[in-house]
Amino acid sequence: MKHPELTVSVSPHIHSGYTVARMMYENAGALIPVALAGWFFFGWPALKILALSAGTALLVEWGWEKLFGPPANIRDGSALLTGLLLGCILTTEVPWWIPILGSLVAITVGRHAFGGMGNHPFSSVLVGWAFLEISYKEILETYPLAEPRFLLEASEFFSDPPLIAMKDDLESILEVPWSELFFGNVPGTLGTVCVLAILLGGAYLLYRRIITWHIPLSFIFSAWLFALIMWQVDPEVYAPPTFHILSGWMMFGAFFLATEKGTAPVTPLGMIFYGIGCGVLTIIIRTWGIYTEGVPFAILLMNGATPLLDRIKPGTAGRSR
Amino acid sequence: MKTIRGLRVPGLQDDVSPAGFRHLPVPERVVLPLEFSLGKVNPVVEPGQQIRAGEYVGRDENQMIPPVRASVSGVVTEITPWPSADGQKLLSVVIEANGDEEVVRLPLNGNGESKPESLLRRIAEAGIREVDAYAWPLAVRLAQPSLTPPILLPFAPALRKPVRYLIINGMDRQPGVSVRRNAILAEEKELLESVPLLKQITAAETTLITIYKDQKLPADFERKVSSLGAELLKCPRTYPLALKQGLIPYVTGEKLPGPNDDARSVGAVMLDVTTAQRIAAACKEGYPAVETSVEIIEPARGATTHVKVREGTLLEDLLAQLPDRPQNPAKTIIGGPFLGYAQYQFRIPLTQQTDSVVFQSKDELTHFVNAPCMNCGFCVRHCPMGLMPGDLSRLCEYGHFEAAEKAGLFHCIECGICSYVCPAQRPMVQLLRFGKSEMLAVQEAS
Repeated sequence: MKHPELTVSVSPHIHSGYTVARMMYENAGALIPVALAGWFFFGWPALKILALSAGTALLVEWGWEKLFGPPANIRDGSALLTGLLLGCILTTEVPWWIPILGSLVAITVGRHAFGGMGNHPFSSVLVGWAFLEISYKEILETYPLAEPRFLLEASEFFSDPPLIAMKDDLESILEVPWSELFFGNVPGTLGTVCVLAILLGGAYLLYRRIITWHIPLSFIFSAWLFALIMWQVDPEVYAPPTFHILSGWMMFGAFFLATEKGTAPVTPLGMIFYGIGCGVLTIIIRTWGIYTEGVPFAILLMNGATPLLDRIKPGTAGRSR
Repeated sequence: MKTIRGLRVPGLQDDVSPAGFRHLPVPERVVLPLEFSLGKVNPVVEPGQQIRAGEYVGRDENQMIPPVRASVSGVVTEITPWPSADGQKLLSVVIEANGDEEVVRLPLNGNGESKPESLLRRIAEAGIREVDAYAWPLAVRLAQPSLTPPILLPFAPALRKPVRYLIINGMDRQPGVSVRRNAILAEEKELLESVPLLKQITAAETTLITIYKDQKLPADFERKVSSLGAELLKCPRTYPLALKQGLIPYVTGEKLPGPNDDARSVGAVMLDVTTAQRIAAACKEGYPAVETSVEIIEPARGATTHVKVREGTLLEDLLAQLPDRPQNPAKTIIGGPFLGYAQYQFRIPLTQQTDSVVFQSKDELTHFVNAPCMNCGFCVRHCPMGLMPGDLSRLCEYGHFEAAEKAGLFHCIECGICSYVCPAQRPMVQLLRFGKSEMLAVQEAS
């Protein structure tokens, strides 16, 4: 006697219920403190930029899904996350069409040209950003001054982002208290200035186990160590290590950009090497490169090394292989 | 000690109340398969023959594979292929029962019984079968080197090694099942009786009863166990620590050479508490293994019932005897939520290899999705065998079976954790099984 009402499938017969959509929305939720910090220091335009980039990303994803179908999927939240991340690494000074153009390139070229989520070798956010940076360098590198809404006073130390100040005149950054950098009371891109907010978001990602400690910690620590060595070699020429890890995109890159799913290695040792590569390359580019910020290029380069790093397999639980 | 990676699955029957077993009346008919993963036995009965419970229906000429004993008294009606729980058709003996509850005991011949040789022979003859799949039969694994038949040694050099660890596993195979925890509570006496017997047979240096850290135990259990010269080992609630591929490295600190190799290759013997209880019943009372304990689980109602039935009872007949039988299950799984087999009908015999039946309602069904792997690494984080399941699944999906084999495909134990955690809800285990079967087909053809 057959029972057509019985479902048959392979084991296992239960699922954790944790889906891609939930992961992506939780990841986007971790950006809430970052977005608030952007509003706190740069005002309402910060939220306008985020809305424009996220909205465009969703619209493009929707269009791609209508045209080409899966794996494009507007409901899984990955487009929203990409849009928000892209908004976080823009300044509030950019015209309205910059976030739109950036999101368009990030979703189409950065992601779907390679076959959709999980298959793109390079961080789609940074592909979108790199396109803008190369095409509209002047627009992207016009930085607004930080104007805290309340509590803090507008900073008197910086008129340029700390990394530009470092390149211009190393002396000028030495008297700045670290707290200025930690709270983010400096000119810069809207989501990356406030280290405190990024640490809050990063702690949430770690708590929810969306990311593991391997990439952020090895990224930040190796950058710190490498900068420390350079600083020990000649403190007249090289900036102090703590300045390096508190300024620019270091924290944002370590917690949010370098950990983008699909572009980072998945084995513990691979993740640590990836983080070390990102950290060292960042300091190299910052110190000797022509770009002021080394994080995005370091991450893009290490994205390219990810397939290699994924070959470092964890020890199989058997003696013979 | 060497912990393995794995997963803590919260909420699935963490606490077991000492429910005990519900003994059901003898069924009208039983179906006894004669084929097993270890090999098959030959039928020694013919259709039409009268038989009493406890008598042989199938034996192995070489006496390696445990014999099959009739679990009810009655008439053999046919010997025919019958669907089994894991989706095969196995040659089986069908017996119409006459309702007699009496079981023919194994012969107990007086004082000579305490010698390890005769105990071992009795275990081999009792027809005990285990839920876990082991490479060798129970009696072969338990034998200390001096008792091992010399004819086996060339094939299994590991049997020459003395037994360092005797592991009596009281942890359930998978989350959501509480058979063994219940067995410890309900049949403590048999379990404690089995410890000296097993120590005598294996001559083990260390005897361990493994339990979960926060498991409910009978009163004063720890002291009773230690007075028998055994230890309680309290283990974390990580799945799949209770499977041999997890427990052997955890206890011995040594990895198994391959996932299907026996624990004897690292000097350990592993068996579960229900098997130990059957051994005690066979050796002390001469009671052959003709019963099986089955847990009926209905997660939707939070209901779980432990029943003792005669081996070979059809699921259909068991359900008819239950007063609160599950209503309209959408999925019937024999063998638990992580490792079990979904059934398409209820005429499946419940054997000693079956420990649980799960009935899922429509809302509990999980759906696999044909989505691409997004390389999030959740499966790598949790894989107890240290594989990269995401990579393997992609290799199998796109037909690169040789590459998958090189990456450790055959080290996969199909525990199901990768499917459970996969956010993309990919059918991971199915893809890996597909790759394995393709590779085996290639090897057979060449």
